[in-house]
Amino acid sequence: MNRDIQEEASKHSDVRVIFTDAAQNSEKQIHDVEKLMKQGIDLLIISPNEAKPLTPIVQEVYRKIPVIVLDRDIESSGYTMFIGADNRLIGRGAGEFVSQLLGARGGNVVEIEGLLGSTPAKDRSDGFREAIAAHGNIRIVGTVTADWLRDKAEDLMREQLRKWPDVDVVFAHNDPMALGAYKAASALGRQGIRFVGIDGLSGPGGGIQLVNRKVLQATFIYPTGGKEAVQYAFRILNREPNLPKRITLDSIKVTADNVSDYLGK
Amino acid sequence: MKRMRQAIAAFLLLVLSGCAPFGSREESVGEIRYLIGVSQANLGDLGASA
Repeated sequence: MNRDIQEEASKHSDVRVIFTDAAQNSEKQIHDVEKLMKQGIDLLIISPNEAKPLTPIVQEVYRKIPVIVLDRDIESSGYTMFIGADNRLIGRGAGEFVSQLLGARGGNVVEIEGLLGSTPAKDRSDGFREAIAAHGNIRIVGTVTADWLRDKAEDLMREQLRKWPDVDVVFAHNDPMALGAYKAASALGRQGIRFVGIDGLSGPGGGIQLVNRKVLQATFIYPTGGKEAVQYAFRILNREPNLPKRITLDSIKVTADNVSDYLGK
Repeated sequence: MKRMRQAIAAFLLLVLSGCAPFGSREESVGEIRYLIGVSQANLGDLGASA
């Protein structure tokens, strides 16, 4: 995401961008925003670590300058614009894909969730469960929370695999966690489990390569929105009227059937 | 004549103080028009949800 923002911003010689990274700590992110305000920023782009703790600071900033909320929502509409993909729709797409994979026979699924309290984790889970609810023979036997982290997913998946001898599919809320689960299954010699993730990043170790290597059965490209955020930031700063409040970005399902279209992009 | 000299002196004063209408020194080296702050939840380059 930062790379996309940087690339788009570099097209404008009269803009400077200051990046901060909260390292998954909501308290740190609040301090980051306060520091950015002290530096006199004209506009804030924020991807909130968690919705509830970040809502007050976003509203406070919004009273002074424009705010673009990116990817993860807050608990109010106190911002200038939200840019992100529809996580519920992506979760539903993953659920439908898993239903197709398992067919009429159905099977057992382990779900690996992202950080609790973040809107993508909740929406992806809700959408997934909605889609598989139509198939009574698909059971979610285990749900673990790995906070978007590959290593944590690997550790938790080892426990799940020892607990459940017949797991058919792992649905992880992002590709790194799906990879962690795959590593756990490989280490325990468990064959035949299929893995589905979300993000679809290009480049080494990204979801596109994982699909190409048949580690993942599918990934759903999650657009970072970084480019769009900078483009809209300029339009907001230039006081362009009638800009939308929400921008929903499209996601694409990538499987073995179409992965060649996305390799090298 | 006296008024013209006064006008020229006033204009030169504006130039020397950096308030001349055709641009200050800061503008000549590239002005930062907008400062944008980006607050990431975590390492953004790992992905939107990583």
